Amino acid sequence: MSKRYFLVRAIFDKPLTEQHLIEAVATSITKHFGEVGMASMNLRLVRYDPKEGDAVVVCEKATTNRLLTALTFVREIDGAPISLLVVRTSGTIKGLSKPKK
Amino acid sequence: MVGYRSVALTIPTAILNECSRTLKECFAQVGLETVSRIDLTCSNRYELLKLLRRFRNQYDVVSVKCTNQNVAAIACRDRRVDVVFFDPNNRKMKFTHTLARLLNGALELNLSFLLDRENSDALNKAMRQMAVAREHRVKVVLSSGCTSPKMVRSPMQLRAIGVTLGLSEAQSAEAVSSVPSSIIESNLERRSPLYIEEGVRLVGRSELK
Repeated sequence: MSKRYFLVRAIFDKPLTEQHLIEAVATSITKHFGEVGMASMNLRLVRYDPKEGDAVVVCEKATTNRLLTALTFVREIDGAPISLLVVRTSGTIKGLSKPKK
Repeated sequence: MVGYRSVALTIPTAILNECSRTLKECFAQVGLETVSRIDLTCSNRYELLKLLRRFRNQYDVVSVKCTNQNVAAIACRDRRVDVVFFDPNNRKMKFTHTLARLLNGALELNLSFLLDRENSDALNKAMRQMAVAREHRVKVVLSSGCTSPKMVRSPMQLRAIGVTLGLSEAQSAEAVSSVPSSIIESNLERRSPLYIEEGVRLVGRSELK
């Protein structure tokens, strides 16, 4: 199954841990697409930089729109407002770091 | 960074002249073009027509919030209106097939309404709007409608929302890119001094003998 990698930038006021980020995304996916939707995505956090707020997540290519929708609906974590901006998508991790044409 | 080229700013009429230049410069520094936009909220058709006469020439984009059936019918039919939008929290008002047939401009879906939602009905209502829009091939605009940096989402996220709500991949991509840009381009052309009327444009001046 082919995968899709996403470079996500978190814009937040309070420090955000990796655990908080995973929980928030998983909750949003489960809320909007259910447990089956969550399972079919095969979601994984590849890396996360708490200082910059940059994260790389990967999911099945067929579920790209679902993941993007779920990321859009993440509004707050522990009562603090947050925005998860998908900056870039690619078929490989290496592709995320390549400069835009 | 996110992928936007231009941004439509809702500027109050009282500070339009003072603020527009400052805002334009601010956004230009980060490589964004700006266009002025007005959101008209009226209670009846007379008020709407009056406001359209007054503000159409001052703003690049005119949008109307459909608060009742009369206002919605006029807003959809009037060619001066660029986009119409419906508040999903207003239970009495919805985008019907009749309005879709009348619509000259585009239907706007504001992401801020979905993010701010208190009731889960907002998503359901948005899905029904998109189903009607798809059936009648109505032009759709997906916008963030953000009032704070935390509400900004990238264009690809907006496109994904469109697909999730029932638009096709192509229609959803158009709703984020080509439809809004064509509205802006046509309005900027309409506001240029060379524009005479629809289909008639001044291409050059020469002395008549």
